[in-house]
Amino acid sequence: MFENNPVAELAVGRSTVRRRILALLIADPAARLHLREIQRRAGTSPGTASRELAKLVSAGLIEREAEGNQVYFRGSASPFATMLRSLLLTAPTLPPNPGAAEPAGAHPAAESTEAAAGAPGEASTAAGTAIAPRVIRPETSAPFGAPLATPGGPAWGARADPLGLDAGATVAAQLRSIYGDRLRGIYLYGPRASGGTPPDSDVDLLVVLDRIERYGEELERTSRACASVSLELDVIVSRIFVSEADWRGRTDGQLPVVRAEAVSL
Amino acid sequence: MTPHASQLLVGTDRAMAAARRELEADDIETAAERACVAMLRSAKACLEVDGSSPGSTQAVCAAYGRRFGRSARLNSAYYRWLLDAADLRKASAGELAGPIDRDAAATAVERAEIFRDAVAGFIERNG
Repeated sequence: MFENNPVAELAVGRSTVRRRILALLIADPAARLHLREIQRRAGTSPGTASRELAKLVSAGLIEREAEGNQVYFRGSASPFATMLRSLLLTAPTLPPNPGAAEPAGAHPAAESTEAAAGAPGEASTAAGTAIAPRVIRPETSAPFGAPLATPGGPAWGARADPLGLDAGATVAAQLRSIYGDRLRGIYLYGPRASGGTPPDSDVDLLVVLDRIERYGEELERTSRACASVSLELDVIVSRIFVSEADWRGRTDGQLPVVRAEAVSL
Repeated sequence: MTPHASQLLVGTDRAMAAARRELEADDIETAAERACVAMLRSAKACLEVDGSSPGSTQAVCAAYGRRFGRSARLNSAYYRWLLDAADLRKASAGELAGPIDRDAAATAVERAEIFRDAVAGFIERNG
């Protein structure tokens, strides 16, 4: 909608993806979408959508809201965003510049998966690679000790990066099925939990188990889940395992720092 | 093969030799760390031949995943092994997790050797 809108270009720059996201969220004041939907409808990769959303949030044009394990985005109700909305909706639209326009259905994620040609079992669509639907089970309470889990922010994952939350929640759903009662908690930590995410940061997950007897066995159990989500979302999901006793009691090393910033998934 | 890919394979072999030596000496943390370095260098050599030269560990893993993680050019399990090796190295640093067990380090060393040979074969065919 705003791809050829000169006011949009002046206000938010030349990024086509940014303007598509703006169109989704600003043009319709009632729109409230989660990352994956925005990514799909903007025809881009999760990483790009996440980066552009972060820019729009920090510019005050878009607001993010956490609800259970999901993070939603909507157009901001701030005076600046409202003014921009009316400007954008009334500004003249220029004809597309054939030299600059992206081809219909252009999708960085699709390009990257096409680079891995001949991938068996992967269905592609015009908008990109199809990703199997998955279930994200909301946590009704922190697994144990909310003060340990979410001490820092005013709301769940308020500063956390959307891609980090999405990848973390996807892996978390699989780990719950792998571990059942052994699982005591899954936390997002590191740059993607604390905000200000560098573009190629890992999604760092800390997995708390009842006990850890052989570290390698836990890596092996979770190997496929982490690798498949990493491939699907084009981000590296990294996990570390900690016993419940260490998570509760260890005061040396980096664990106290991680406890302070961790976001429970 | 490009000179840089060749250098990377030499570096892989050095890291592999160190990993085996440390495993023998029961320094399993260092063995795991060296095995991870060997895997990363192999992955970089592979990417180099494929026309990509990423720098950081994250960038190497991500680029390898994009180019080889789903393709039939190399066994897709190697991508998992690469991520597992990087996570084992993180645990072996001991700041957050650990201790790691000897079997985990031995598996990492063994996989690094298999991956190195596969990459050498790939480079021979494509380099």
